[in-house]
Amino acid sequence: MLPALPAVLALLGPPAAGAATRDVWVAATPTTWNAVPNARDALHGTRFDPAATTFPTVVYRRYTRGWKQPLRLAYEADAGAGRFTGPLIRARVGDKLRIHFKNLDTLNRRAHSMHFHGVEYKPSSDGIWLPLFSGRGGEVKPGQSFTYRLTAGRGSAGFWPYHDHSTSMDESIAGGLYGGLSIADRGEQRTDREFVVTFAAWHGFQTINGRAFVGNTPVFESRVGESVQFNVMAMGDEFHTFHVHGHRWRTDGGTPEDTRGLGPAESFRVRWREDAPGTWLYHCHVETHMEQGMIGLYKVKR
Amino acid sequence: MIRRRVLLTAFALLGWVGGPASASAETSTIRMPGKFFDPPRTTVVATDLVVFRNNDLVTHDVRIGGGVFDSGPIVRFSSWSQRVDQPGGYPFVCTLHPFMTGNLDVLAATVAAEPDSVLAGEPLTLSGRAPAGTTNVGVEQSVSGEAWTMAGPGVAPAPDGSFEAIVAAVEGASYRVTTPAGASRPVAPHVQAGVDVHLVAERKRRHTSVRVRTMPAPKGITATLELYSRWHFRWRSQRRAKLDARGGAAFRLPASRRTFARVALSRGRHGPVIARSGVVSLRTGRAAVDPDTIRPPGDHHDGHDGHG
Repeated sequence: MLPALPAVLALLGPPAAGAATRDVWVAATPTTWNAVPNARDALHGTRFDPAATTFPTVVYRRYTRGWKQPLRLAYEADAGAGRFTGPLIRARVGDKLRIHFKNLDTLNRRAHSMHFHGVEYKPSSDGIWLPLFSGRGGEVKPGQSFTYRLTAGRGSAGFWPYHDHSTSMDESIAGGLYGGLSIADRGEQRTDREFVVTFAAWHGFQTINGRAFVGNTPVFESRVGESVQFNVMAMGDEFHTFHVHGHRWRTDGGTPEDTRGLGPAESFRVRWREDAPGTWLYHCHVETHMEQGMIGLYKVKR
Repeated sequence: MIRRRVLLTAFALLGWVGGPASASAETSTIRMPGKFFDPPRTTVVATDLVVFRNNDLVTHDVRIGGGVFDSGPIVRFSSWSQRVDQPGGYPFVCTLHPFMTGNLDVLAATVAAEPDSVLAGEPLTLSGRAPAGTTNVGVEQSVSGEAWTMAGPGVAPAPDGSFEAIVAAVEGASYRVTTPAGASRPVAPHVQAGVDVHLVAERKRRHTSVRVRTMPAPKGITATLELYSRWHFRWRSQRRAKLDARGGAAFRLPASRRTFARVALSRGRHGPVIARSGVVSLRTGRAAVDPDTIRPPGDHHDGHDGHG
């Protein structure tokens, strides 16, 4: 005799509280991007010709269901993501993610993919190109699409990069084909503010989210009393150090710090409750990187 | 045979070249619907093809004054054409009906100015046609009847000789273009004097009043209030208003806006800037240094050094 249905469900265990399946629509799309829209480095008094700072490139953009229209969610705009650095994909430990990716690269007409750090997936959703092994998800040709199936597992809480890992990986990452996953732990509160800082070189500039120099890089905003989270990642070939003026946070071991280093494809998130009103600098503390644009403003209102 | 040789010599002297026209030059047709030329006066650009079409029931011919230009008989319902390379004024006549006269004006180039009324500093489009095959057209201006000077870089016309050049309008200036065949007739668009624009900011208890005054007062011009974004280190367009009949406009800002302000005048929302006011601090209401020009202390290099 077959066991009753409730008994089978009991054997499978209860579903995780609040666990969800999240569908995200993303495309690799061409854009013309100016790394220095105010045409100046205000700290050094240098001026730039827009022709020397503007280039066509391919980036990840969020879309509505079925890739009907580009979409930038409000929290992505506040975080400084979703225009150059790809969509800030949010999930919670226990969630399943279906990332519906379409290659709309009409600029270079190259194959692209999405490869995710920090989450669980089968090799078919690894998004890599490997002769004899990889499937369609490792080389999504122009006009084609692929759905990556991911699980935010127990060790997935945190901030993680995703990026192109196809045959065009090197040029595509240099062009800006990357973004971040922000995964909250079970029972963990989201902070009032969440910011994305992506350190990467782009056409000779050292950029944060594709922009160089104060006023062009994201101007992050918060208020005293709010909880804030900085999501930081690095792409490319260089090491960077993330530093925020006037603030400290604690390592997992409880040690206060105000600067943390990271190498290519490394990432972390830091949190604090805001108590320091004013306009502050955040930057990569590799001085040559700072000189070449890797610096921005953080505005804390009373 | 002798007559033909004489004719060829005459054409060479005048610079008229027979045979088929260059494919890209324009064609002008002068008709003979009766015992008259229609139109009686025709203006063409050198290298244009001129067609004389006999629509009459009797034979005509066309001869340039002095007898050097002669089509020979043009029988009814036929035509005869010539290409003209040398600028000049050419009266012509039908020798079979001497009362049939006309005039052909051959120009080195044509030019027209658009729009015909602008403010000094606004873009003025000079368009026209040079002889087909011209590789470069010079753009010249003469202010208040003085000597002609270059008004900008030359332009390379299309294969048919048509060209377009944009210059910043100068008060009292006439414009012409020059080609290897000579200069065009001048055009004199109506250019009004440049506009002075002043900004006054006054802090009230709850708001800041920003008033714009212009001299002279060009009604209908758009005034765009620009505020400096301290966090983005750039000027940003904030509000727009049309100048009233006295050339004024007013804006009201929250008293909390304490940055820098200036105003730009343009024709329409997207037109180029005709004039800009000085910078005023909304905090003090006084004239201020343009914050976009603030440089690090002790930094004396000229700035335009491209990549940092």
